[in-house]
Order: sequence, then structure tokens, then C-alpha cells
Amino acid sequence: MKTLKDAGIGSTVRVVKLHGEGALKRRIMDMGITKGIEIRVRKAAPLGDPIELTVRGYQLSIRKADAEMIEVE
Amino acid sequence: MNLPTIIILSVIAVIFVAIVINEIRKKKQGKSSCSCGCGGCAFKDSCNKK
Amino acid sequence: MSIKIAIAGNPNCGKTTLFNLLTGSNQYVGNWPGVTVEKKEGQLKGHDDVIVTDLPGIYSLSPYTLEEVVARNYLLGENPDAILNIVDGTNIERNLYLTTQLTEIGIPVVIAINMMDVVRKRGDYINTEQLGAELGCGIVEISALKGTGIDEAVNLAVEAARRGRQVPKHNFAGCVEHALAHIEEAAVHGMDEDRQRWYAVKIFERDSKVVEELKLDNDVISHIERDIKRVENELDDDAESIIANERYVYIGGVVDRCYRRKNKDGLTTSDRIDKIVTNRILALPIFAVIMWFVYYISIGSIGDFTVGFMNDTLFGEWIVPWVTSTLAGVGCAPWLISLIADGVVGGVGAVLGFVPQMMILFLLLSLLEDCGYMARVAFILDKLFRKFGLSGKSFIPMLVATGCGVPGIMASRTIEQERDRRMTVMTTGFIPCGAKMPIVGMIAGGLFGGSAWVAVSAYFIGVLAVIITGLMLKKTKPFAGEAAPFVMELPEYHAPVPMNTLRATWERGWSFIKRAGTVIVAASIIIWTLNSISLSGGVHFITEQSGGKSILEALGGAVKWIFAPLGFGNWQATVATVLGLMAKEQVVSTFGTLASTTDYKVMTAEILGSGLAGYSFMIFNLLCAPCFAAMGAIKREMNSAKWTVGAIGYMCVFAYAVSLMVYQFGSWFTGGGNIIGTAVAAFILAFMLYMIFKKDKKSTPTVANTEKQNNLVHK
Repeated sequence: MKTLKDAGIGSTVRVVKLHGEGALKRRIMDMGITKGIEIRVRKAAPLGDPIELTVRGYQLSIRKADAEMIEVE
Repeated sequence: MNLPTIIILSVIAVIFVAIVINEIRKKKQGKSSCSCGCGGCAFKDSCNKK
Repeated sequence: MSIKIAIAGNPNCGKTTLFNLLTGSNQYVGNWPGVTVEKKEGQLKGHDDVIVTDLPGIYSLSPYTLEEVVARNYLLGENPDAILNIVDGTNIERNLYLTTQLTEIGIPVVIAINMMDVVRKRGDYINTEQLGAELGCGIVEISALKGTGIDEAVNLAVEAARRGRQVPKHNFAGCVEHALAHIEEAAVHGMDEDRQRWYAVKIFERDSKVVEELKLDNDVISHIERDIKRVENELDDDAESIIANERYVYIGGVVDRCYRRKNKDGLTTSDRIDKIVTNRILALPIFAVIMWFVYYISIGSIGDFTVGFMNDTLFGEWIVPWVTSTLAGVGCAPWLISLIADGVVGGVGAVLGFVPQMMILFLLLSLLEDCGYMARVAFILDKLFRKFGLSGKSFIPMLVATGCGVPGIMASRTIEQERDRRMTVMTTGFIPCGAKMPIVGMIAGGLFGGSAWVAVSAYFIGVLAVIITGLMLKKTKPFAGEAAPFVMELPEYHAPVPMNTLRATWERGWSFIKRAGTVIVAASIIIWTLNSISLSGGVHFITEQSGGKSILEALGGAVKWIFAPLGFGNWQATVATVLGLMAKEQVVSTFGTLASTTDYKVMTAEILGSGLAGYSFMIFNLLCAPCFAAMGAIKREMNSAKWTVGAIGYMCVFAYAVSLMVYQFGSWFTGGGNIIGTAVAAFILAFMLYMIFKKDKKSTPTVANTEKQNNLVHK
């Protein structure tokens, strides 16, 4: 299973499924990361974490540990 | 004690009492005595409540 | 009959700016995601019968965050007549996600599309008419910044409010709609038609707050549960995610029909700025330079000049001599002249002298906040903060605390996890707040020739105290575990609105001045009195002939030994430190009252002597227990006597330890040095190092941890 955490900087991936549950998952979905959506991984913070994404035309930052919940292709 | 001294002293005393009463009233109303300029703060409402 | 209109929208969509335009109220506009925590109300300009409520900036109406619960409770409980939904045109999909939830409540929604000028500049196009028709809402284009379209938006909202409630228009996938219909039939049939949709969707999502509120029968629940399970199996996801997904699918369709994007991948100005500002190598140096610059300007160069002018020229050469000669001219008694000139004017003047300096600092910080840089700081620093058991979000309270610790501590409410919140509450008090800046300015100017490094080091010592505390406490039992999740929008940069920034700065400065005019005046009178009356050898006024120890000197002298190992064991400094608990400005004010001069440089040197003692005094006053107001805030947020006492006790002990180390080790470099003191300091240092580098036994995987966050209960 490939997750968003493994996606390289600069790559564009498509969300297959969101794992986990509850508040964190809801939050991630509320921010627009849903099945089938394209995400571009823009960059990592200077210390390597969190990462910055482009989702639905805006910039979102998320920790790598949380990005692990997002299965992509 | 001469007259000017008494007058000025009473003015100071009135101011002092007014400030103290005002502060006590504010405390009783539950207003915070947040001192350092909450006025411009984005969260001011959260501390000036109850 | 009065009409209530609620303004709702995502954070950073221009909601607060619009609210200011509509009501003319003075309110701060920041660029932090989630800057408005409490609801704000105001009367609509030109409409006496319309009340406008500013809801917190939210992304959704989930039951999980405090802001969202606040907004929900208001919309359902207080029943506003219309919702004015601000939608950021440059970020339309995520903004409309909230819209789909707002329309379900049944309250008529009017959409105001903000930042249309930016959309057009990008060459994009929105068919607003069709968008409004599809969503079943009135729609209008506005620019909150330029103030265009505002009247139209207001009129539409008032009109909609008069028209009354409406039923939402959007649809989800067939099987979801089927289940929702079943739920409406089984559980919420008795309700008004316009509300049913909201409750049906929430029951489907298994929203704990709604299920609790409705008190459904067990057999109704189990009947509904079967419907939900069937859909969950069919779509292979949990109910809550299905709904979130369906909303975005619906929006995707609407946006496809109404929105034309010109170019997808062009770099915006924001992107270009971010290329440099959050650059891998440059980000941290840039942050350090910006912070240094802010303190250099406000404390060092311009700030130091204003303080010198205010204290030495304005008060020292003009006001005090004028007051003295005027009072002497009318034949006032010398002791009363001393009360007014030395006591009141000296005490208040010492504080007021630092007002311009503080306002420059506030101005610079609110500029940074307003333009969007602070969100980047959280992004840059998150990993670092997490190492100390805090999250990037802890930076928000800490930043607010540079203004005032009280709202800073309050701001920690936005941190979802209790462990992180407690840690943040405990450490926020270490950050030098506005009222502590005069202490820093006094030491820097009086003993170090106005060096900016003193101020910068004060700031870094504050941050370092936070870090060290985090590293040490993380290993103690109550603080073990993982940090809260961090999912944050990085808003586009925009030029700060000068009026907003200036207004915010002035408000802060003004409330500081007001305080100096009231509390500080009263306190100065008390201190002067206590310092002028002696109890030894019969109660008498101290004059040059009588001499004798004042009450204050006797009180301070009795406990001054406590501070002797820190280098400032004299009664004036002791009294100032203790009075600082009342309000931190009082430290400087007390110096002004007790010293024989208004020249703050002379008075600092007179009371504290060496630079090292002064530095140690500054550190202790910055780190020890905060003022009473902040202690009250800690008590409210901790909601436990044990935690409150623990937090404040910890701060005092920590401050003492740090000052002791600085003074004892420093003494060896300035000639002197005390073996016993140094040994104790070395022991403390060793203990702290041990705690910092001790291995953290617990390392739990984060994903598994999210289940615990499920059960978070919010106030």
C-alpha cells in the first residue's frame, strides 16, 4: 500500500482511500482530501516535517504521521 | 497645613478612592483585569467574559 | 421586529473585515486560521433593526472542534433569520463544502463571493447566477477589502430573512438519499420540514451530539443502524466519511458547471514568496532575522530613542520640574509635592515612557500576523515544537502572549489534546508579554547601553524556557504520549490592511495607558506612602532630619535574603518583584517611585548595580509567576487547583533556578564568584541536563493514537 507519506516531493498523486477514523479523518476530509482527488506534494518543511500539499487549489500542511493514513496511487 | 495643601490632598484622595472603587466594581462584574492591551487582541472576547 | 443575520465562512475568507464594514465596530483582523474564537455581534450600519453576528471561522460543522460546536449551537439554538455565507472565490470548492452544510439547517443562506477581483485577475470565471440557482441561495459578488457589493449583500440577506426558511436543494448518491429518507421517516418526522434534512444527515453520520439531543428510542436507533450499515457496506467506508465524500462530489459537479479555470499550474505571488520564506535552507534564518529585526527596531534603535525622550526629556526635564515648581508656587507642603512628583508622576511616568516602544512592537507583530507569515512560522516550527512535546499550534498562543499572557493562555483552547493544552498553558507564561517589555527596556537601556541583544536574548530565553520545560516535562508521567494532529491551511499572503493594523495597535496601546492612569496611579500612591512612613521609633514621616526605615524597606528587607543568591538581594528590587505579581508594569513603576531620580538609566543602576545582577533580575521577573490576571487565566484553563498550583509553582522554581545559574556562573567572569552558590547552581544544571537528555521511553505509533482523539470531549 502506497501512502501520501511515501509520495515524493513535487509528485502528483490520486487518493484511493482514507484509513483511520474519527476526528482526524473527518478533519482531513473536511479540508477536501477525499477519494479520487488529486494532491500535489509541494514541499517539506525545513526540518522535514510537516509537508505542504496543494489540494483543490489551495495550500494545506499536514504531518507525515497523518499523511500515512491517506492511501494514494 | 495650608489651604492649597488641603485642597490638592483632597483631590488626590478623591481620585485614589474613585480608582479603587472602580477597580473593585470591575472585579465584581467579573471583568478581567487583563492589563497589557487586550483591546487589540483577536482573543479578547474570550477573556473578557465571565 | 428585529432581524438576526449570522456571518459564516471559512477562516481567512475576509469574514472579519466584512463584519467590521457592516457594523463599524473596532475589531482586530488577523490572518491566522481560526482567529475568531468567540462570537461577535453588532448592529448593522443604517439598519437599526438588524443584528449581525460574526461566527468563528470554520471549515465544517463537525462536532469535533470548539469553533465548529460554537457555530452549530448558535445556528440551531438561536435561530438567526438568515446566514450570510462568505465564500472565498479563489478557493471555491472547500468554501462551498461549508455552504452545503449551512443550507441543510433550513435557514435561508445568502452567498457573498469574496475576492472576485483576484479571481478575475487570474483569468478565471465564475457563473455566479447559475451557482446561486444550483445551490438555491441568493448570491452576490463582493470585495470586503475594497468595500464593493456590501450593500447589495446586506439587502439580499435582509430580504432572504423576511422571506423565511427554506429547504436545501442538493442531493447525494442514490443509496445515501434512500437511507436519509428512511431516517427522516423513522426519527425526525415530527419536525418542521426545513429542519429534517439537517437532523437526518447528522443521525446518519452518528453525530454524538445530535443523537444525544434527540433521545431516540433504542428500537428506532437499531432500525436506522441497519440502513446506515447497508450503505456503509455498499460504499465501503464509514458513514461520516461517506457524507463528507458526497458533499465534495456534489460540489465538484457544481463547480464543473459554473467555474472556468484558465491555467492550473501558474505560480501565484504567494507561491513565489513561499519559495523563499519556507525554503529548506533559508526558512529558519529568515525567521530568526525577522524576529531579530522586530526586536531591534522596537527595543533597540527607534524604541530606545522614544524611551529616552519620554523618560529623560518629557518627564525628567519638563513634567516633573513643572509640577514641582507649580505646586511649590501655590505654597503646597513639601511632602505633598514629593507624593505627586516622586510618587504618582514618577511611578506612572516610568510606565508611560515605555508605551511608544510597546506600540512599535505591537505594530510590527500585527503586521506579520495580518499578512499571513505567522501561519508559515507554525509550518516551519512544527517539527521543532513537537520535539518538545508541543505542536506547531502552540505557537499561536505563544505569539498572542507576546502581547498579553491572558489571551495567550486562553488561546490554548484551540489545541484539541488535553496533554498539549496543559503543556501550552504552562509554558505560555514564559513568553515576554507587553507588560514585561518595560522591564526588558529598562535593563537594556539602563545597564547595557540600549543594546538590542538584551531584548532579543530576553525573547530567546523565553522560548528556551518553553523548550527546556517541554523536554523535561515530556518525560514525566502526566505529559507522556504523542502530540495532537496538525492539519492547517497556509493562507495566501496579502498586504496588511493599514487601517486594521493601526487600529489594533492603538487599541493595545490605549488600554495600556488607561491602566497606567488607574491601577498604577493608585498603586504608586500606596507605595509612596509605605515608603515615607516609618514605624521604628514611633510612627512618623520620614524627613531628612528624622531618618528611619520605611515600612516598605522593613518589609522588603525581611525577605530580601531570598534573592541574594540571584544578585539582587536589596529591598527595592525585592519589593518591585513582589509587586510585579499584581501587574508586571508595576516592576518598573516601583523603581520609578523608590528611586531618587526620574532618569531611568540612573535609577536602574542605583537599585541593581551591576549588569549581571540586572540581567539576573530581568530573567527572574520574566520567567517567574505571571501577574494575577494571568494566574486567573491559568486556573480557568487548567480547571483544577492541583494543576494551577503545580504550574505556577513550577514557573517560580524554574525562574529561580535559571537566575541562580546565570548569576553564579556569571560572577566568575566579572571578578568574584561564590563556591557554595556555584556548587548549587552546578547541581541544578546537572539535574536539568539529566532530565533533558534522559531517554524518552514511550514512543507510540501515531495512527493508532487517533482513536483516542475520537473520544475528546470539548468544553
